[in-house]
Amino acid sequence: MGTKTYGTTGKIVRVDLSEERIWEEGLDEGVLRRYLGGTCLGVKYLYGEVDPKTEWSEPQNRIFIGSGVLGGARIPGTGSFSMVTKGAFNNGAASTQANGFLGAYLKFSGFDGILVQGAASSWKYLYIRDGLAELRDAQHLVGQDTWEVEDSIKKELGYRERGMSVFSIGPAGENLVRFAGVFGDRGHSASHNGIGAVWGSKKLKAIAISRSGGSIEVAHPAEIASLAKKFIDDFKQSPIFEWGTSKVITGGLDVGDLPVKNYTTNLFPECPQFDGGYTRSHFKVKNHPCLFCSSHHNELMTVTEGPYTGYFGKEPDYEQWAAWGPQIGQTDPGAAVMLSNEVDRLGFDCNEGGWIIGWVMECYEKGLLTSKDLDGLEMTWGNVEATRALLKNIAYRRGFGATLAEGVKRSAEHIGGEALKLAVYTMQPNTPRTHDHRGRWIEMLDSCVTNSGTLETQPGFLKDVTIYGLPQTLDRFSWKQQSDAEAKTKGTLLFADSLVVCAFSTRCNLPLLAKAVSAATGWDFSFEEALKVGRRAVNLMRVYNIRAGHTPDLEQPSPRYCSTPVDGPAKGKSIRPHLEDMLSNYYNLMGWDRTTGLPRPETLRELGLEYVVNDLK
Amino acid sequence: MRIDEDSCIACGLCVPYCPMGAISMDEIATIDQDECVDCGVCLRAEVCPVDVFIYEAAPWPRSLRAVFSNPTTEHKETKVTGRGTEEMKTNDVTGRFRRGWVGIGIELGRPGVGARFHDVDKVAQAMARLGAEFEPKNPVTLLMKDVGAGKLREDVLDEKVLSAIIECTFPIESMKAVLAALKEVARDVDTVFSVDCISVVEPDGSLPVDRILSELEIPRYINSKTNVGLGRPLAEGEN
Repeated sequence: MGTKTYGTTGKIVRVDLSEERIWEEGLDEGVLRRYLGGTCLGVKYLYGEVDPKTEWSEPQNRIFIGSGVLGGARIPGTGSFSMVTKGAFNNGAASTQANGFLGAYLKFSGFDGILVQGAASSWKYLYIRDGLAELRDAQHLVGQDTWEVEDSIKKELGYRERGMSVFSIGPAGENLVRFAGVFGDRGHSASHNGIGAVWGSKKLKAIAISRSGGSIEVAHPAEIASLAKKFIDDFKQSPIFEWGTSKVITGGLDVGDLPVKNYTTNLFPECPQFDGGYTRSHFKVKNHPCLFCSSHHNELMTVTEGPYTGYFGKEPDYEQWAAWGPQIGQTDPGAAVMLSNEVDRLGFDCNEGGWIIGWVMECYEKGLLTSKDLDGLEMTWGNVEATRALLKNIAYRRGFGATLAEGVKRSAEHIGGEALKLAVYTMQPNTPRTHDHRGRWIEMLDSCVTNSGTLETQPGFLKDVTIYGLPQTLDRFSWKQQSDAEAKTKGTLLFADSLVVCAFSTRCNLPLLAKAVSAATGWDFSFEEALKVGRRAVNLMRVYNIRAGHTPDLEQPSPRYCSTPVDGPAKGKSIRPHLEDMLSNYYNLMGWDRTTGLPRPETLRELGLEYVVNDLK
Repeated sequence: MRIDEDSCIACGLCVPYCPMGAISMDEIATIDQDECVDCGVCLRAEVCPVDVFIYEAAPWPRSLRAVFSNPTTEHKETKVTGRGTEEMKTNDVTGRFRRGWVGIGIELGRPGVGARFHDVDKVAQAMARLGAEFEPKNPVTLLMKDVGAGKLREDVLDEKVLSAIIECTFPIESMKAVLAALKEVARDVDTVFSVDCISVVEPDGSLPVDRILSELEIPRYINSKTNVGLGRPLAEGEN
């Protein structure tokens, strides 16, 4: 057993689903200081315990579900958790996070993380409380959607709404939809790189964690309290505090960053009624904050206008508004609330879902897919009920839904010809977030090169980019500045994901987060050390993926994804001529070999990853 | 008011809503029961995402807090919601204040401060010493064990409310002495109060109290309350 460090529980719980065995394992303080928890610690387990040649669906694959040294430390956004596994979508490293409560409740219950291995012979869920973990039968939960599972387990175990945190897979995860996710705490999601399919392959339906003792011991409680206030005061300076991401849609439209009808246009005249200023004043809303956070990032929402009046669920986040509105040519915000929540309930990623439906609609319009191909569905732009039916077919792998359940790249390759040219994806494949990245070059680059299957860096989240050697304002059409920023801020978001804290509530403020780590643990933890943790995670995933068979030539956008906008604010701007320059600059700044894609030995040594250098010999 | 401790998620959204500043955030939100006046604002604001606020009617004497502080609670004896009476507001029908008399209302406590009954007691006794005639239907008067002396019951003295109003009348000649006594007692009172000086308007449109306040150079805000004849008939007599 390792020595217990302040701010942590000093242990993880291991669960072998094949043998139905559960045991504890101590965490060494030296390992904790270098890997912290969440993403970075998870990547260390993945690297050390899952052979890169293992298929994502094999029992040998493992899932790390982790909080970190700030989990539950009273700072807003410290209820988040991160999961790491070999993902189903690209069969490479996956790191995906959800906000809410589970991360903190896990620590309150006595563990910094859960490491799941094996595969169960019948459906199970994991129940954790007060230092105890138990596998319980989940046969009766099969077929339930992710909101129903929360209700069922809380009822079964006698917990009130926030007395327990439940995350689960829906029908999509059960049916191994390649982009299935994990959903819980009423509308929070960790849905990248097919994490839900990995749960499904292990017959793990849900994880339910009691609030248990409700606190953890930190080294300097007064300092943590004052930092908590500082984080909230800083957060209040951001529009996210009051509006969440509900106004991002309008900001996106204004710069050509909002995807409309599968990248065929950048005009969306109905945008004002999707803006938070409209939806939050017209629809009925109720506060729905995460643990320790007083922001209005997310609300619960009841539709009060249009055909879906009375529909209740979580207010969509930006990506969901964009996917279920403009991307599929749909103009009723009430319908977007419904589709967004139906997808959360079925249990798959809204981003990939939006790319698929938009692609199907464009193919339908062009006669490349007919209603006969689509089991009778008429997939005209904005057809809400046909979309709803198709989403369900995908989750249950029914009819053409079984093809689409493989994701847009594989579906488009399956159809081939013209249809292949219309799909938005990266070659890896990774799922781009629901933006029009032709107006946001850094994120197109990030989506192509990411090692985690999703967003890996995001200068927009950072309060101050000058500390990373960047100009305060970046020219969004400068390939040099955009690729500089991608490299120089790499590690920031992954550090936050290793703590694990919300990037919004902490504004990914590394200097302040480093102070918080010191206050929680009693270490003298520096900003430089913080950035190294994130970079350690990136480089470990990098090596892992290349050993798994990923190659640098796959770090490219699909033809449609990097096409030239025909109208709107980014009209005529093309990233395509600059892609190679961006990639070369990025590789160079990262200390990676452009041909093999591998980190150079000195890059690994600087991060204390000597053992990886040896593995590569 | 109390908090369901198992459900609070420590988001802090409720904190700014408490008029008494009685909610603080520790591991979870906690209410300082001594400072809480059971006004119910936290509950009615519906700001809590997990509905942790629970109000159960309190036993005597704490029950007074809600009666005086929560405007949706009806006062058992007066059948009026809130802290005052109908009597001072609609003199046209009640005829409570006649010519030659002044009505004095002392409103102790405000959101952010509140008032303890031991302070209300001090002010009431100061008024009684000058011969105050207390309004019998007023909630504070109903708490007096000795109306002649303006003394409140001992068991209520530590209770805190958002605000309480003492209502009484004096011959108008006493008004300067009354105001002097209020200035004096204000030094011993640990809250704020405002004073209502009520008189019938003279046939020439002037206000007797206005003249006196002007002589004393006391700043004032003139506020009329007129019955429009929808309620009880006009009070008989010299209005």
